[in-house]
Amino acid sequence: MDMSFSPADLAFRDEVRRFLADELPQRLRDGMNGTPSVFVEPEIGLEWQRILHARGWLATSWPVEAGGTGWSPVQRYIFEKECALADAPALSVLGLKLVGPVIARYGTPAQKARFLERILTGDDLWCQGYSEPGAGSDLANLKTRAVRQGDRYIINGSKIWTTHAHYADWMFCLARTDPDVKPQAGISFLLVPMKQKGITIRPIIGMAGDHEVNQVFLDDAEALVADRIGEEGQGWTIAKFLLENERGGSCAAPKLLADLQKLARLAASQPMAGSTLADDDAHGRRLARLRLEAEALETTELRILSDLAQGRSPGPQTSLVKLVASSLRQAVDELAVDSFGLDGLQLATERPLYGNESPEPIGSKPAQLAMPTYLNSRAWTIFGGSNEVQKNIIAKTVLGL
Amino acid sequence: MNFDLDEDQQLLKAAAERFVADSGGGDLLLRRAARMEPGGFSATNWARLAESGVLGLAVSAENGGLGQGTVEIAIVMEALGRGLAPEPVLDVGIIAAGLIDSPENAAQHKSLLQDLIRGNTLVSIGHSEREARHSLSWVGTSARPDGETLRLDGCKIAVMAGGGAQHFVVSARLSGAPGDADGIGLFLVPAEATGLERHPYRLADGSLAAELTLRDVKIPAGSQLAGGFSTLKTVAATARLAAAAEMLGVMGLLFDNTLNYVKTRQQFGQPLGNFQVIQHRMTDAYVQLEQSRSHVMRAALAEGAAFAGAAAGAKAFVAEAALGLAHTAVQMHGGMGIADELAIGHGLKRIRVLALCFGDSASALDDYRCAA
Repeated sequence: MDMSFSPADLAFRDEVRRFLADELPQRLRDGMNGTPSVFVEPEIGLEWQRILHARGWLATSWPVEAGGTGWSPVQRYIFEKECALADAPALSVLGLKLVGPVIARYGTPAQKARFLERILTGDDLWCQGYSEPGAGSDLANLKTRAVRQGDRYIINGSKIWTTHAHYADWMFCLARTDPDVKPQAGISFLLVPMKQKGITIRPIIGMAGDHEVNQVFLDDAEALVADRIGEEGQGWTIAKFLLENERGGSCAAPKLLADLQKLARLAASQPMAGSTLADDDAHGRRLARLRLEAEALETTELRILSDLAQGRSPGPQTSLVKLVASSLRQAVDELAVDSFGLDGLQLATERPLYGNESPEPIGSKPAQLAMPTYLNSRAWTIFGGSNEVQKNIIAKTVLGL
Repeated sequence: MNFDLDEDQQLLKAAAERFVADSGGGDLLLRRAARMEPGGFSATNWARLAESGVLGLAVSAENGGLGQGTVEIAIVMEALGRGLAPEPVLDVGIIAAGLIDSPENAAQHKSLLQDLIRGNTLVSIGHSEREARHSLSWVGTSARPDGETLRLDGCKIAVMAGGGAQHFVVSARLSGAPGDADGIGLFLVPAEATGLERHPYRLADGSLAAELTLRDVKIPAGSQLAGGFSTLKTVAATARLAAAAEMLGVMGLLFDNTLNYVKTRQQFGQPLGNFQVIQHRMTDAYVQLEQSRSHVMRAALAEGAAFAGAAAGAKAFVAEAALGLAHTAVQMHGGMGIADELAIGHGLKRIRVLALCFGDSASALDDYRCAA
């Protein structure tokens, strides 16, 4: 048993650290740290994406022949960890981690040639058309209808909680192509151009004031049959592949631990009736409990990594990582709000909160970011399969209930 | 990065599991009978554990032990926990043996240590005091040098496995005041020493503990063991890991039994496990079990200066998780859960005792905080 990295992996880690020290501009770090929402704005993300692409380190979860890095699971973990610790912008997963691997796995040669490179270059931005007003956790109940007409589908319906639809060139969309079979069997995976007459985007402003998600209306929107991924009716299988691919390895704990360390340091700067928050046992124990939970998560993630590194498919503990990590993210962000006392109540709704134009904070910049970060963070246990859905999955697939 | 056990560790795990299976692990009738034996556990099984070397698992090879590391301790303790073994391996084999096992004690106390390892002599630790609650350094019992002897006065509570012990390792203060780290000594006291009054009593898990009153107990000066507070801290760290691993084993047993129960118990015309509220509680328990396993592994693999903090953290985390899981297990079993007829209640009671080994989870959490 050992929890350490090999000399070759440590050399790789040092190479990543050097790269981050040399190539990650402070402006982008500030942008990342000043973003209270889940994803950074494209103006921050795309610049980092181009730097990574130039180094050949962008598509860490793609096969080599599609332009991926060909890294081992351990290298992927190390890279993700070092990026998180260096405050590198969290890139949008929509193209790189979600639709990219799907196209690489299920796409025709023509589709791969057409889409993959443009995801890497950032020429195409993507959004995900899964949830609908009537199909959230019950995704198979989706109603958006795609009817074939010649070489294209005519699509009608509505998608919701669509992250960055207002920036996207394309949507990967689950639509019902056959209403007469059982719900899962009648769904197809279509690539829909966003810049067309049949698409209307309604912004949905989050409770922190961020415009991150949207409702998208499809009124006789069109998609080419040639842009369907896989067979007609195969959409549900592809959607499941996408989710499983996303769950492969996980690296949430290093960032959580780093954030907890920042909160521990911060406590000494927060006055408390003649003393500081660092002397408050209740706060210290709350912090320590979260750190224990995050350390357990880190070890669980490393156990998954160990399986992957040994060439095995990971054990059932994979399923609990999203559940634990999302709840923990929320608890950490809640502790941050509480750490600032009354200064934690401020909510600036101007955006961005980084750069010269950002509003003057009350108390400190971290105090200004705490409330919007906390509010946005309530989404963690909802998106990508709510915690309740995750529990249903664990009960069924792991516990056999 | 590899969490697989090596070949020796796999053999050790198999041997520990075989011991549990062969000694009637999980058989509550045998367990009850063992509790009625003089020390509160099975003398036969104790002899078997001694024969396999488990009682000297962590004792250095120079002093006749197996000299195994923390991963091996965790492997054995988890297996014993899973079998709800009533034998006091933690209290005697890890804690008492750990306090005696040092190069400085080799000359004078090696034979006692070897008797302990061979299962011939039962030694337990008298450290906790009522006024101390969970403070490790709050030792009010005094030790006064008097010529060639030492005189001990004080009271020790919750002396684990103390009901049947032949010797005690007693902590007492040579100088300073309760709460001082300096001035604490460790002393070997025979159970029949004049002035030592032993009051045996049962703990929640059925084990036979004792309260000790020492009134001017005279022992030879040579009965003082090497080491003091720092030895206690070192042994406490190992004991916390061992207790966490044993709780992990109990958690595994309770979880599997409960999962099996909700799959088979029929109510409203279907298995209990069909209900989502049951599924989600079982999922929460599963998460606690896996996260606890991660913490035990993490602490077992921590090295050097990092070990004590990691062991305190693991103990704090696992104790809370184990109690939560045990309460779920009782609840899922309904009325049967509160009966003494299932392993469920016995598991809860064992976890209760282990959760207070060298501090409750708040004090372990504080040690973990301070180590950071």
